[in-house]
Amino acid sequence: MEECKESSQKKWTHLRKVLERPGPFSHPEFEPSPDILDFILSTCKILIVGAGGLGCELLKDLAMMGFKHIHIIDMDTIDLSNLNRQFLFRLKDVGFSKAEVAADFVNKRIQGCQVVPHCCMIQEKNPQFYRQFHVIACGLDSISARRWINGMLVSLLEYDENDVLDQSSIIPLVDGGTEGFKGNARVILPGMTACVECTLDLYPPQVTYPLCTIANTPRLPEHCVEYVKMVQWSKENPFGVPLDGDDAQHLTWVHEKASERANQFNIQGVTFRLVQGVVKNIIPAVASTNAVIAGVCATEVFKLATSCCTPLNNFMVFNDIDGIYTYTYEAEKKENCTVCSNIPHPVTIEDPSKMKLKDLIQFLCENPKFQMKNPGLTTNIDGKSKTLYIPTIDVIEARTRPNLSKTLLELGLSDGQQIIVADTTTPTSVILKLVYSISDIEMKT
Amino acid sequence: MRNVLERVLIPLSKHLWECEVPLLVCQSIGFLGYIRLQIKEHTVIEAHPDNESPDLRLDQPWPALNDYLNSIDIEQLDQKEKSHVPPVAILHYYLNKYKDSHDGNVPQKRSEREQLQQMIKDSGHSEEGNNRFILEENFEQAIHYANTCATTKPIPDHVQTILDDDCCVKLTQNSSSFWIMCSALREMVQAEGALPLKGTLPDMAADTQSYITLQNIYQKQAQNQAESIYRRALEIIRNLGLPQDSITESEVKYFCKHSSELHLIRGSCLADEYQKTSLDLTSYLEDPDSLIFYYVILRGLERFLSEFNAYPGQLDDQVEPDILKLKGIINKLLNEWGYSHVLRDERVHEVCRYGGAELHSVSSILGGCAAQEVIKVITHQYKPLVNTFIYDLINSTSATFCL
Repeated sequence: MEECKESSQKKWTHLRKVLERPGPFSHPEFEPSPDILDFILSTCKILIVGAGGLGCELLKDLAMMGFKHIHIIDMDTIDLSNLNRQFLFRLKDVGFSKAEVAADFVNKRIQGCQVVPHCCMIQEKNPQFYRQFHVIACGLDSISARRWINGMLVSLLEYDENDVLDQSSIIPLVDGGTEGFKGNARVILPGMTACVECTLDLYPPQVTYPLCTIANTPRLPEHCVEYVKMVQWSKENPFGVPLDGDDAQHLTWVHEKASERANQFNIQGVTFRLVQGVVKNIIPAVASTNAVIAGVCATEVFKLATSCCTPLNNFMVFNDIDGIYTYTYEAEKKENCTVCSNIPHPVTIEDPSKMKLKDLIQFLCENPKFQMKNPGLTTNIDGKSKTLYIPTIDVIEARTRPNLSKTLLELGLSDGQQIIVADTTTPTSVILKLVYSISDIEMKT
Repeated sequence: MRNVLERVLIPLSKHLWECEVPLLVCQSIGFLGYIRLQIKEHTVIEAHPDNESPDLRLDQPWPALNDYLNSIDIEQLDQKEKSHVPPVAILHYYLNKYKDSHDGNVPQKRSEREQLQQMIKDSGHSEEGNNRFILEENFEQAIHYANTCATTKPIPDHVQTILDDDCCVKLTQNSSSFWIMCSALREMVQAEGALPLKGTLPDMAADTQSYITLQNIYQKQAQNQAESIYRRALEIIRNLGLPQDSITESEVKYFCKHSSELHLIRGSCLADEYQKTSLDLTSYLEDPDSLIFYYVILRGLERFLSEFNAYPGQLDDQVEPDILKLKGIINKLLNEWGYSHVLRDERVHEVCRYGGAELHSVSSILGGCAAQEVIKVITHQYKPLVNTFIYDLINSTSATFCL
């Protein structure tokens, strides 16, 4: 009753114009009615993945657009360096959970809003958790987390006995990403339109590092360089001027300090070239780009939830280095997509008597179609399940390690063999089908 | 500013135009956005272009570069040295070889560049074992650089326009430091036929020692050129009777480093758009799908607002009649400008459906865009919008028009 009253409140008059009136560009199924606003205010459940630069904007935008039941998930805690753009956080919040502080802020600021925070990894939530949402919006800086969410939503799809997709099992995914003055926003209807895996080649290798990693848990030599660049330089200011990536003296100093730091953390590989690459390739997070991309994503969530306008089809890129530029196109669904096509993926093997298991794993990591991180492989031989290699469980890793140096023939894998691959980049397994290009091979068993 | 009445906007625009204070106007209505930047004159030094090709000048090496590169005889190096020699040295070596066999000319045409690339390719293979040969990374990069960097780049049009501008040719006591530096640059360009060296060496496969040596050579030359432009700028200042500290050396260095990125924007006054009897939209109106029609509709909407003191479609029972009224106003506007184009009714209908509604997410997008344009104007970095931007969130497309 209270919610019904709320939907007639004056503060929603703007939304009511687009929700209660027909329009020439609305979705064919759109039926203008006050019920749509009621749905947004009382029933519609949205999940925001990531409570960082984009996540803060998304949460604010969606709450201001009338959505009341918003969940937000992020495992990170607030760092001092977040405060310039992650505007839901204050100095007193440093060290606390991003999801919790963001939820708290919006719940206090926007009356009736019921944001539910989840301070954990996305992988810790089960399919039932994800199934409860009407739309999921992502503001992430990591490609593997995107791939995981995408894989999860594909795994929730239900098909009938004739392989026809049950439309009600589709949860639309709105994904935004920014890098400096560039950004992109896309709408994915899992099983219907191009998914994250279909367009994996669009993502270049990641070159930016979160400041908390740089400050606290450096792993890569790049992290050491970033630390010197972003923290030590301004603290010690060795030449009394800002760091110039083209000045050899400056780079030499950074190189020296970064090497010291690398030694301290037992990190190998700080070279002069690496220092130069990192110092000059900085892509800062820009607050205005986040505002634009999150705004576009929130608009799409609103369109998807209400049908008051046709959604973005399906990929938009944004850039405001030179004027303001956008480009929108339809990314194509890949017929043989490793995630959303549901068919085994042929992998051509030139010579199975030469190719070792570790070569196959390397292929899965380096091939642009798979781009796996740390795959585990199992198969089925003569009806019996066989573990080829599992890197994530120490005992099994030790037991299966010798397999790495064996060839595919030595492992008893034949032409057409199906291999089940598990990897952190996807919540469901990928099935490979080995295709030997040399046909007459005698099995050396 | 959002949805300001014409009678407020026009005098404000005129006043700010005369005071040379930039003005940015935003409109957010339904799924549509509009941004207009009014700026009389704006100069950009650091435009941060994407995909810039390196400035290597191997066709006109200065003595220090020439001496160093000549000291490296690629074909006398052993396998290990060869795999660490900088690509610039490789390119220089084969460029000279090419010149020797082509009457001293550098490759200009594509087929000539391919010839040079083949020469590099032929010598760059090294044995990997099992009779397999691989092309070393540094040789690959040299081949890549041969495409774009073997010859000195011509002066870009946007820089030449600045050098030919009256502000650059006829300095006065009121000239800004930008124009004084441009004037000094102009003299150097006239004497040397090229812009100052950028002084930046791109990352390349090479050992640290030779890379740093090369980097120092490029940097030193850029520094020398910047110093000579600085000295010239100081003379200009003296001749104009301005204080010596009106330009600093670091300012000139920064200017020289980015001399290929210089941009000049001379905008137009927003009030003129409203007062001119003819607005030149001819080229834009040719495409019936163009977003320029939303500009026309928004102009009609402003006039509607001034005439009726309400947005079209503001009242639920007035949507249909307001569509007709708004169409009438728009047709009158088009006639005033001398056009007989017919608007797609559905776009007018959609705007009347909004009834002046402002959607938070759309305003948020415009706010983000507008904020960045303001930062560009203040910092003189990156190129600002010229000058009208329409965002259509119905289809998630946008367009920029110069009005």
